[in-house]
Amino acid sequence: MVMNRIDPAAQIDPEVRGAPSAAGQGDFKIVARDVSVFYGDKQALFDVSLEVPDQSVTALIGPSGCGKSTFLRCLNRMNDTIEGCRVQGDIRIDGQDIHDRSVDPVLLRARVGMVFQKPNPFPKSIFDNVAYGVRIHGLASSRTEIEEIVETSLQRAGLWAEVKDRLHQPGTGLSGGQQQRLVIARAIAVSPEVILMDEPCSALDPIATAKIEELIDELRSNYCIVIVTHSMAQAARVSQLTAFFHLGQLIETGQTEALFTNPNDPRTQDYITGRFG
Amino acid sequence: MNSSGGIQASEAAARRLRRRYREERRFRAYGVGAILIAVLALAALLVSVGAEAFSAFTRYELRIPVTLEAAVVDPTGARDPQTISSNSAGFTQLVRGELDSRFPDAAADRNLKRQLARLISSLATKKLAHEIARHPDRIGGEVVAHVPVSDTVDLYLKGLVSKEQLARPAAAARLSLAGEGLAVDAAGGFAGPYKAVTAALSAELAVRTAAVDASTEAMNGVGARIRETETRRNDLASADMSVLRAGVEAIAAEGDPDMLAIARAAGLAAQTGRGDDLVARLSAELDRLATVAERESGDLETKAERYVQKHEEAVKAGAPNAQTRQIQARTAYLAADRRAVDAQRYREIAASLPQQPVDRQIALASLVTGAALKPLADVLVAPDAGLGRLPAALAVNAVEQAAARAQVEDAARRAELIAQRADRLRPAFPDRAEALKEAEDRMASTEARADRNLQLLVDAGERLSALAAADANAADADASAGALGEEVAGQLGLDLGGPLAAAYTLGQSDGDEADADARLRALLVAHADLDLTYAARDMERLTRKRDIDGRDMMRLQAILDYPQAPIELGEYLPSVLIEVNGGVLKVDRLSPDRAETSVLIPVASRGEVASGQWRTRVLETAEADRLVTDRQVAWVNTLAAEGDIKRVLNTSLITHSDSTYPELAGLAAALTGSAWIMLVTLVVSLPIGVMAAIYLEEFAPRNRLTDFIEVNINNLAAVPSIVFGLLGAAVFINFFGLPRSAPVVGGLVLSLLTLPTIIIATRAAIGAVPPSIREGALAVGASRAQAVFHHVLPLAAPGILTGAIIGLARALGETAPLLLIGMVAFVAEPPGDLFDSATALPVLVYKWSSSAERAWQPMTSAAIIVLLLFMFAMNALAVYLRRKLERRW
Repeated sequence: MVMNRIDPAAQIDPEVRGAPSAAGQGDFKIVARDVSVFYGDKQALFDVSLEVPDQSVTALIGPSGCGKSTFLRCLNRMNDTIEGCRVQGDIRIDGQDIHDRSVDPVLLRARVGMVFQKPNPFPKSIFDNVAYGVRIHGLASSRTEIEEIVETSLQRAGLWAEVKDRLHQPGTGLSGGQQQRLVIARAIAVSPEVILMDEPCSALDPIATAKIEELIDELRSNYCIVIVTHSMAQAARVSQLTAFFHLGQLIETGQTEALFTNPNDPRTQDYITGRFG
Repeated sequence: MNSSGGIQASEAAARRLRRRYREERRFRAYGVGAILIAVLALAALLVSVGAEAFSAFTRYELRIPVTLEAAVVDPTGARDPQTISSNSAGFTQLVRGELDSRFPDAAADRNLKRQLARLISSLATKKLAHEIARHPDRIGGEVVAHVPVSDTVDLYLKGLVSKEQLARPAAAARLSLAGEGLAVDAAGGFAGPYKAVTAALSAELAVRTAAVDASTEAMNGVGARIRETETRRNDLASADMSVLRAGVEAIAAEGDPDMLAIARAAGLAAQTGRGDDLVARLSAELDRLATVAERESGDLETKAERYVQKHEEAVKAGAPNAQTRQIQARTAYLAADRRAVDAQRYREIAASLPQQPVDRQIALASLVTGAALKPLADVLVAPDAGLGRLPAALAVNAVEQAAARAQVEDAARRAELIAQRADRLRPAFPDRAEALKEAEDRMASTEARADRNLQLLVDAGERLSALAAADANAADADASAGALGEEVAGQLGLDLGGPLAAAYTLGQSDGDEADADARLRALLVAHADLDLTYAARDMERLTRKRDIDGRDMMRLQAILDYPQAPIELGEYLPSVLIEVNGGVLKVDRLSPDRAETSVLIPVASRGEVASGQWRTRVLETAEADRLVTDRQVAWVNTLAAEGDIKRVLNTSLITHSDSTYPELAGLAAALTGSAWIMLVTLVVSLPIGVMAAIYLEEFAPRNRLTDFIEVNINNLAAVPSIVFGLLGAAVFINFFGLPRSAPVVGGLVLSLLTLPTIIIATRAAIGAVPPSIREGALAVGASRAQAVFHHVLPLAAPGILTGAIIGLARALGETAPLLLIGMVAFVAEPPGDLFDSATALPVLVYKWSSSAERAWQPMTSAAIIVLLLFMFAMNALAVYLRRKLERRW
């Protein structure tokens, strides 16, 4: 049952899509300027400005409640679905203001996929899980095409070998790590440009975590990935860039290696060395 | 394990552990207990209803071969199915004719013939008529008619009419002619029935004995009352003034204080000859009465004017109630007039009071208090004053006549006033002559009443004079005069020892101490005499009752005292029937060895019958206490023995609709009605309820308005169902003009009832869907609606369906709202569509349960069982759907 068969690509300004530099944001995929978020009267994020380059993994780290997940959810306007949440500031993806009137949040989310902390496959078959987004966005014109997309997505998510014989069994029957990869496949299936990951491995065991990390590293070449993580080791392993958040403020950004070895800000230093957080 | 340390270390810890175990055990016991109670309650319900319903699931049917005579079955000869099928009376006639030929001796007697005819239900041949109408070629041939027996016979056969004892006595019987009937001799053969009869006699004896005991006890009470009163009366002779006064005051304390004060003032005036106090009190009372009467008159007049106005409007509009309005107007005017005259009279009397002589003032006081005060006191004191009763009665009569004359004068004056006021009646009586005539009628009736009173007194006076003139034995005359005085007092409503007389006497003694004690004593004596009269009357009544019960008791005792004595059975004792030689005999006179009988069904032969070849049947309920006669019992058992009455499954319970005859009634219309109603309810409430819930849960903003709506949905779920019935009647029937008692209205009303349940259940089900599912859908670019309809709703579906079905099951059992929209009507045909008259199962249960006949009881229970099955099926469906839908992933 597909309710809205609109090609997301058709909605996006071709100029913006094709030529990021035209909007004057250099090589950056995402440019956020002075983003503040309020939950009711409480301000959760204070004037955060961050640039995220394409085809790389950017890690957002920081202690609990520092606003890193909130910032992540701003990037695909997931915060719109939370009542009483207000976002200020300017966020551009490929130069396009995502808060612009012409941008439909639903289509934006097709472009900016998201993976959550807890694997949340739909209570449907593995195939249907991956095909769902394809169907509602009308990305395929035939059953064969859908099957192709499903296969490709599962292969890219590194799950194909494990599930190819039981595509029509429930996705909820998979193990935690498999479920998370299934969710990633589901996100990839609608061919997004950005993938947001909100602590994707925190509910998984180390082996599953390793697999996901491997996967993230592979996906890097095709997507702009922003990942929120609690594990500094993980940030160090998978990301090229790291941003450190503290108490709703972006304290420091930089090349991951540089940030971890030689932080500028004492707070970053304290966090990395485990004084707090 | 190391015993000195570790987990066994402390005594306190062990104690805590024991306590914890104890608590857990206790809570488990509570849980088990609660479940046991619930299971027991359910079992008790099912057993009690089921046991009663069981008998309704089968019924008895008479199967009798009849020849379908064309002349009776199809008198027109046209073989028209319509005519034949509506001619069930003809078929009934045939079946009854067949029964008559089976029992020819019954056919000869009108009464017996009627009893025989009542074995089968009045409309029992309907089905046969329908069948033959479909196959007219069978007319003229022989068919076996399957006919339901009548409800009373059915109940008898199911053992619900009377306990029965059947026995095959181990004794040979000898049948011989005895008078009109037969005598049956069997040595000890009737011991069983005889025992049953004596048991019934003993039970009756116990009832009578208890009644005699109760009467005796009550009589003892009355006797004590009499003795106590007599002692009180005797003690009066020696009582001193203070005791007398206290006694009289106690009597005077009961009654209206205002009236008593007037009576007392009248007594004082009579004694002293000065009426100042009396005049003051009387004037005040008359003034009060006049004010009340004036106010009432005014109110009535206003009302009357309103009616006149309404009458005029009605006449103008040509409304049919014009006449009623006129009568109302007239009645109100006349009432107003009567009260106005009252008021005027009160004022006149009050104004004239001071100028009247004292005697006259007292007479007027009598008029106000409603009792002739002076004569009361005189008649009391007279005997003790040594006058003798006769002269005293004469004196009293004279005074009373004077008072009655005053009353006649009063009536005449009232008549005058009424005539004067006739003009005021004009609005309701445009014709003056008519108004005057009305007034005259009333004058006449008032005067006639006063005249009647006077006449009564004059007559009594004449009889008293005649007694005096006859100069008969003085004592006799005194007694007659006393009786006559009492009679007149009774007719005039005088209360000789009552509160007014007591107050009057007190007034007298206030004025003059001289013979005060004599007066007071006389009043107390009269009061005691009054008590004694009442007590004597009670005693007489009780004695009569005790004597009747006592006679019965002795008669029963006498029978029981002789163990072998023959007993006359009659219709108030258990019936004993003897089945022998193909006939049935009813025992009239029974002893253990011999029964004198009358013949219900003739026997084939007389003479010796071997033991085991005959039997006795005792019906413990007396014939007078049941609807099935002994003769019907004999016939039915004979037919059953010959295999002509069979117990069959009561399919008509499902195939028939309601009927006035319980043996023909069924649930078809109610089942169809309930099904239609459920359909409407489902179609209306499920989509609306689910949509409302989805909107509230997924789309509506959280604000005061939605909070308010949420609270009110919960409130709505708690509203008593009858309120929805009222709402439905007002909105759907009165406003939208939908037909009464139609399934569509019932369904709509029940939809209102189920909506909140469905909304609440749906919201709970939707709320239970994890938010991660929604987020996942949104994150791949699904819209809000897509997320809800593709992911949330399928997950919530089992919960929604369960809620909806439970809501529907509740609606299925609802009675009250359906009663209010007229679904309680008698519906003899299943409804054809949504707008047809229909009824519902619970309503039918309600209706049948309030029917008086015994046969409706099992039918009601059967209907309840069907309703419960319906509900259990729905609940089972709910469980099944939930399981099935949940198992999917």
